[in-house]
Amino acid sequence: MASALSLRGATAPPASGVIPKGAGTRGSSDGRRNLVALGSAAVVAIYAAGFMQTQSAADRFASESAVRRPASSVGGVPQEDPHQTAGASHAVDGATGVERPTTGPVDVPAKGPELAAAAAASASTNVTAGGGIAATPKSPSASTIAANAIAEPSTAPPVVATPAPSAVVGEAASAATAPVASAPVVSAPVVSSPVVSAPVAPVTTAPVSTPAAAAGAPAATPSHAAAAAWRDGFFFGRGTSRHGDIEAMVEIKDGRIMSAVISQCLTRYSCSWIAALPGQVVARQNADVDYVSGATQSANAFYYAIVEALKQAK
Amino acid sequence: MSDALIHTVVLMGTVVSVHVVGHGTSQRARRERQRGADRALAWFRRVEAVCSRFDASSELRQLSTRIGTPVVVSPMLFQAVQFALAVAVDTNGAFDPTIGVRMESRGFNRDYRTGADVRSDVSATGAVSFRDVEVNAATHTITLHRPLLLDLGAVAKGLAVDMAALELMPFANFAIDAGGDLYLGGRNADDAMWSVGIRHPRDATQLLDTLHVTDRAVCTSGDYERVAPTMAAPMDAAGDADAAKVSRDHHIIDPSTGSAAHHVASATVIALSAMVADALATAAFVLGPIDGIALLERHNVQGVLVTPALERFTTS
Repeated sequence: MASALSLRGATAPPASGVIPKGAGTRGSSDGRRNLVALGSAAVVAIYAAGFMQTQSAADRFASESAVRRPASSVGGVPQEDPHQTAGASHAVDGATGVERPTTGPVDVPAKGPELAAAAAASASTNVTAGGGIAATPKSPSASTIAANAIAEPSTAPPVVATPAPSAVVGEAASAATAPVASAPVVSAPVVSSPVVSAPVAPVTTAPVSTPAAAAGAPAATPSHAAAAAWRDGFFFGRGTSRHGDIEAMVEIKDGRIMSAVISQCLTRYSCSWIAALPGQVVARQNADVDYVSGATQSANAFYYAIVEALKQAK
Repeated sequence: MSDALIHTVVLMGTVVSVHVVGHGTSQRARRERQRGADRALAWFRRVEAVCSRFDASSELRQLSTRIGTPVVVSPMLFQAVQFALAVAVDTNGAFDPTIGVRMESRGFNRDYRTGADVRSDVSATGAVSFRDVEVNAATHTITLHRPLLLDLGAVAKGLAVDMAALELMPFANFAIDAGGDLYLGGRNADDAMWSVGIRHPRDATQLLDTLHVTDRAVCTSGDYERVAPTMAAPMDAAGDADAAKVSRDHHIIDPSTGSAAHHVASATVIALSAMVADALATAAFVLGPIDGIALLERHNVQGVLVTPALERFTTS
């Protein structure tokens, strides 16, 4: 579990109860380890160690934002220079891989409300327990399977080596429920973002997030509402895979998807094996579910081609 | 116009998509989302630069050139290897990160970026295993006791997804899709839980199931994913019926036999961390349905395994 302790000790040896004592696994055939806890601790440690590099880009943005605040409050925000953005991102890349143990621990505790929240989210299955996962079989082959085959375990996992501080858990919980809460809560995750300096955030983010949340409507543009807003016509989108590109064409009539076809198959292999996908899109009036686990390569390419085409239709 | 941000690039040999559900259409809000997506994607490049088996300059490959001596490594490589070894120990080697050379010998040595064949100079002398790797948390070193090439494929992508998720956590509502390895944060644009289909292992047009998740990683290991290049030709004609034939020689190796594992066609794990989900899905795939489910239950994660005969096993 990613406790605050392991956060601060990001580059120190992780909690001794989790890691094989002393050196290595050679010859160690001792008992079972708590892989979930170890994994979470590793993730947070790596993030913390690399955080300084990411932070430089964030700081730069924060200072830019501070300078820009007066302009923003009167409604005019100078256009961001895209090259600057790209530059910052590349600077982050450039320093890859040689994070030294000296970087992380110094700054992380101060910078990390979102880290703490993340750690707590990682740490506490029970924060969202019960709300977690419900299986709804859709394919014919699923019919013999109990609908709740994959149910959230109701027992608190014995994996919490160090219980996360309750305040941190609370933060994670509020982050998780933010979308259904009132406006101030909606803006809260943004305020804690490392890209926004604290003094600036309340001024600019609150007005932005208030209308949607206060209206009691779903905060963001729902895709189904967007579906109704599709313009009629033919729209093209392209998806990329390691085997090549796929171009999809979507026909919209009366705001609905009439047809979706693979208009160009530029993959090294035949597209015949994903030929049935277009029909699926029409049936569901959307590019399938939100995401598909295990779908790779060309199937993904088609998915993104459709997403791209539907974007054009808006 | 939608105020969501969806940013898709090709990284780590797959299509990586970062999706930040928007709250606000102001330039500032858009810029914040763009910055967040950029930082999230930067983590993929960083993880790749450290953990790639295909890049001779990667820290992982550099490590494989120094046999028998403790090497001080970056926190990222240390943690990734330490975690992979812990999974190996826990599964008695059903999951083993030292299969790199065997992966190469089976043709999994093509750099997706250049298409060029890449082969390390590591020559395997006899069977190596995770027991030939030593990590020392006190000195932050890794020692390879025999010539071997680590393969962090089942860990690195999940790790990158986790890093990206931490980066996007301030936005609360977001999704990361790295070639079917997913992390779903908060809720979707409809203010509902994210719906995640599990691809049917024998029919790309079907979903095995649909899950509804929030703040969870979902990873699937399938025998249909990366077919060995020697077997790629049948994909030309791969209709649905042929998919099963194609899958005979895939990328998930059973370390005990050195060849592809065949007891499971698809293993999906839902966990708090994509690295954990990815590694456990791979391990469960190798272990087979009974031991695989036992592994997942022992670690309190949810999952579903499907056999080649399409029999389904789920955690209770």
